[in-house]
Amino acid sequence: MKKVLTVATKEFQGYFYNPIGYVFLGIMLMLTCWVFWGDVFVAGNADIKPLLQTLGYLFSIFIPAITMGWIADEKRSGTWEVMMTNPVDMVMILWGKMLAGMGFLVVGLLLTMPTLLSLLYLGKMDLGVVFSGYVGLFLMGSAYLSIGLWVSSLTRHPAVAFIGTTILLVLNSLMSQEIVLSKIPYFVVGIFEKLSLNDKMTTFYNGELGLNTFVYLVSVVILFTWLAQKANEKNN
Amino acid sequence: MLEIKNISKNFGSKTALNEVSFSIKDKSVTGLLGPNGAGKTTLMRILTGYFASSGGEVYWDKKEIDTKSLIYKNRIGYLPENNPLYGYMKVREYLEYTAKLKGVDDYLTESLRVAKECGLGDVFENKIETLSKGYKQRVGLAAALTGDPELLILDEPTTGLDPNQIIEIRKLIKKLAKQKMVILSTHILPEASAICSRLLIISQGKIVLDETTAKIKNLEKKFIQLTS
Repeated sequence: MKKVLTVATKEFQGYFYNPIGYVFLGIMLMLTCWVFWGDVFVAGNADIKPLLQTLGYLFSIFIPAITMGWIADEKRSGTWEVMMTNPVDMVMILWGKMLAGMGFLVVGLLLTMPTLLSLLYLGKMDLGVVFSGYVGLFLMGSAYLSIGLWVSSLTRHPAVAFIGTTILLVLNSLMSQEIVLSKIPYFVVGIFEKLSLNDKMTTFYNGELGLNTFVYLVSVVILFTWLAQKANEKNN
Repeated sequence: MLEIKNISKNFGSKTALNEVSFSIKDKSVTGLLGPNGAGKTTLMRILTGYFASSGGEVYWDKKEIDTKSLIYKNRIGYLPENNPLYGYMKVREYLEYTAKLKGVDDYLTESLRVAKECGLGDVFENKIETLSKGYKQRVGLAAALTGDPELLILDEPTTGLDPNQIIEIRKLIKKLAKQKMVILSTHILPEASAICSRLLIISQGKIVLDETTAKIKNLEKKFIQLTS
């Protein structure tokens, strides 16, 4: 556990050593505010749901930017070889990176708090919905991080990892869209609904901390982290 | 003593190493000499546990060891070819990070010790990306030395350095060899003669010469004979 935390701390600090971390957080916050306040002032709707949904969609683009270099860049630069020849299990390195990503996600979510507090001031809000919504976003973001970790393990090129993860996450978002679901055979709709991570979020957005959904999302995190481990073992 | 017995490595149908065997005594520098693509880096990657071998065994003090095990990795230090480092980190941060990964409890003292041993005192608080190539090489060496490993594996440690830096790094390796087993790879013949007490010439994945440096007359001629 000590080594997992060592890797996690180094990775987490790494986000703030260069402008990428700040740019990521800044743009995410800006877009969230833009979409959200537009909804509040234009539509006159002081509701938490659009904020949560916007963040959920933004994750499809921003999380690949976090994960693209996790393994791909380490392999390209050769630091992966240094890491793997130190007395550290690969599993520790992968979970260290996941922990750092989750920490960064928490920072991103905390930065939306002023928007949330404004909303609390402007209208009535069910705090249960707020809490479950944020827990859901964190879990979905963690699942996205694990998918990004896996894709990053399959290539030496961060740009390829970014595009690959974005495609997977956008496809995942599309699987829950009515416009897509209405144009595909009925039996496929069932499969899409079962697989789509976004679809599972409805439970959280409605203020429920569903155990099934919780287990599903945690399973996705474990599955893709394990797949990343297998992909890296195969490469060696 | 480290004994390598019949180590082979295949990449698909291509044989990179073919039943390589040799042994290394304590407190010595063994040079792996060979042309590009001879199998030097592959052998080093197997010895560091980065690659799994396709066959063969490694013995340390007559006990068979698993080169992928963390116990073994704790006993080795490795400087890969091209010396990859995290440029955004300070020298101190990088050495502390390495010490923590190697399970050194007093990582602050350890980072200071290796920095001093490699002459990094002046740049201890500098960012790695701002250092000269020679200093970066020292950082890589210091990281390899962290945790006081018994075996140092150095893949082309002087590549890309200027003549002064080469002399400094050679001095440092010679100093380290008084306390440890050192295996280094190179394709520079004068370097092999200057640093190594023993030379292994590797060609097309096979050891074609295993001799003490003192006994090899006209290394250049021999090298061309054996590798062309």
